[in-house]
Amino acid sequence: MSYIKIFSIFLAISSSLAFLFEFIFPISYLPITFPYEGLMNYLGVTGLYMEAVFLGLVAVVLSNKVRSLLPLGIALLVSPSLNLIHNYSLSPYWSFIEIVLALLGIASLIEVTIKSNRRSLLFLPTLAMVTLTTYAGIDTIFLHGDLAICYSFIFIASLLGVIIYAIIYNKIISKRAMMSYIAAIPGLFVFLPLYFLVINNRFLEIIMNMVIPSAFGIALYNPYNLPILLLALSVSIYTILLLAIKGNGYAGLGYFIIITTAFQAITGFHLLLYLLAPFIGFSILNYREIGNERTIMDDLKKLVQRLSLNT
Amino acid sequence: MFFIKIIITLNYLIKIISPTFYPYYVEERFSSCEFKMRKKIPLLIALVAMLFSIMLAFENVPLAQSSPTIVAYKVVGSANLANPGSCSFWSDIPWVNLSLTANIPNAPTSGLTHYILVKAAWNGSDIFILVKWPAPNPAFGAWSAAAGALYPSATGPGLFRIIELMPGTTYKLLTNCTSYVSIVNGKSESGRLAFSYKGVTVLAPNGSQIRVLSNGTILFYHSLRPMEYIFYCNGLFYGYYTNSTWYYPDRVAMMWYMGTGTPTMDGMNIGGKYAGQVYDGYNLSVAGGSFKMPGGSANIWMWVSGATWNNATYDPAFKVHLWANESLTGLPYTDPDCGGFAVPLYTNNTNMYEVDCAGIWYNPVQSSGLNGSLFMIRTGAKWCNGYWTVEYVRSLTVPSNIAKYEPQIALNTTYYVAFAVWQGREGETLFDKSIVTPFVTLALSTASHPTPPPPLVISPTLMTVTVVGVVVAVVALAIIWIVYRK
Repeated sequence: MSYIKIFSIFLAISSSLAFLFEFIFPISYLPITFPYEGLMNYLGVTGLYMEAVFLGLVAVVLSNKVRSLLPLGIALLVSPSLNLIHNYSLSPYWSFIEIVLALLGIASLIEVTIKSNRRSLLFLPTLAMVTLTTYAGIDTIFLHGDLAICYSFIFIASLLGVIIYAIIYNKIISKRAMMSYIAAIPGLFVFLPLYFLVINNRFLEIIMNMVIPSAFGIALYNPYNLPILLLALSVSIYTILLLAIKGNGYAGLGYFIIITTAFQAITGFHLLLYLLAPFIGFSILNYREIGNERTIMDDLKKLVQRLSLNT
Repeated sequence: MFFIKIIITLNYLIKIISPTFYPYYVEERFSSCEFKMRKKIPLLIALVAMLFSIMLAFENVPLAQSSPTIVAYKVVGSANLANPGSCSFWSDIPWVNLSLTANIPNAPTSGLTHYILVKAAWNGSDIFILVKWPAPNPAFGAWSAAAGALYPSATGPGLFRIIELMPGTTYKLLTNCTSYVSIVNGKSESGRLAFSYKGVTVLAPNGSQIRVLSNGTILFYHSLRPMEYIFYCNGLFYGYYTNSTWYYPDRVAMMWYMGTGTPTMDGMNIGGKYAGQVYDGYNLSVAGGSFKMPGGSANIWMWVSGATWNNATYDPAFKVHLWANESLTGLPYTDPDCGGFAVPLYTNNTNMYEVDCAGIWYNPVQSSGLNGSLFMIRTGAKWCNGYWTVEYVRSLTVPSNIAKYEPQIALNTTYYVAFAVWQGREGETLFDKSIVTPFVTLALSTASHPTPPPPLVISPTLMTVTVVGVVVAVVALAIIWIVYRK
């Protein structure tokens, strides 16, 4: 098995566990107990650490194709040792490293896009979403600002692009495609029951209005957007499964990492992991399209040639 | 040069270990047996990485953080607790605005305080924490139930809590339970009370007292900790009842995480008086107030307007000089400063404790020793223009016997802290409160204040850092491009 394949399998397991952690964390302050809470907490925390390490490894391995991921991967892998430097997070040097990493991350978004084929243009809304949330995080940390925009609609825009990509990937209609559309349906049931609960139950709507934004980090400036966010989350999990069954598990994994980490930026990242994960996730999302067929870079070169010929 | 060498070395290492990316390289150098061996390297690396991650998780090595939320600045001078927040050094330190949320999301009396403002400073011997939160209706004159219990003549609002049951709950008196006595609307009757809500029935203990309002709302009087748990777990807990003459005091609490690593939970359990309590047939596996985070513990600095606010007019405990009376408090000492204070609490997975030997609010953490511990965290408080301002002062270090329950505060350490606020008149009572969702970080800085706001809209520090960051990013990208060019 190749490096990227095996690391991605571990990354998929760890990001699922880390998502478990993200879900337990915000509801832990509520006086609610659920079975095996302690065990799930340990598993979730372990998943968070595994996600940090495997994202770093995947970034280093992917740097073969997307060069600007190398510093991001190294940063993630060495980040646990930062604790040896007392008060590193108070230092202005750390601030500048954060900005460098954010810029390199944005560079990686552009690099992977231009090195991929035209299908990757469908990920432009996702690229915009990751860039915007990164800016929101930088704004929160360094300017103490609050970028109050409707994140749920930005998420939906990103999701639309990914849905179209998932449908056109391989073949739109074929035996395997039809089976994929059906087999991915269980993905809908992760969040769809919550949707039906909240539209009829104000009590649960109030609870979920706190739990879902806390789990994903997404700020719902209009709390009545919750049902539509839950619908979007249901469809996104369906799309992730659809992509995986259609044969592009990388894209599914990449998008899962993006949706579970990108919005943590809105409240200031908290962890270096949440700053870097969406960038690496975006490269994983594009993995199958990198250097595959005619790339956007080729198109751009051709465009430049035409322009220079015309002049 | 060093950076370039690192990248070249890494590139070489990737070439050596990666048969997938550089198959031509591998084919040239290795035999088929070696090639098979090499194919197992990814799995080996993945397993080592997984073990490394698990080790990090078990050792609770903090993951790299983006920035500390609260910075305590080094200042000269001491606190003026008579007028909290008035010292000149506070004006150089900006507020950190922390959002609060409901501890019980469905309760209409929970999460009514939406934010708390925090500043922190230290002067080499003491740490100062200044907090401020909106409270349009302050709970003046309300006794803290625990403090009121010490004083036989205590009268006034908030002596004990009243639970409002979920609207739609009905009650029935089971008259066949002849050994039970219940009080309904002030009238004592033989029988056991049974409450029903959406098919769930909860039986009340002997001596339960209820009042039914004209709109059908059922108020349950003198609720004990187990009853709160039982009502909550059965979906009958709606909130605490307040009116103009019955309300809880205002409160603010600051929690300091005392465990290792990064804490993931800042909540407390609802439960019994102690873990495993059997109450009227109900088994309560956890103690109310015990810390939810497995293996964790925390110190809490609790300020209560009806007990620890040095105001003889509005704080009934200070009005009757409660804390100067050893026979009432049961403590072998009094407060030498006769000032405001914050009650030190200690919570772990077992229970919530009070860091003294009297146990006025909760069980004492020790049966002897700890002299003076109740009055070690000094506070000053004022209510002005709809806001409470409370200033905490504590020495950075505490004696070793207290250090088991309270943090030693020093430079070069990141502390995890959380805040909770209660507005008693609004109904926020006991575990029904407004709380900071996650722990936030606090660290001591040797700077006297943050960079002062410049005349420019963009701070020069940010500008410099951004420009340097952009330059380094561009250089790094150029180096990577050159190295990989070929």
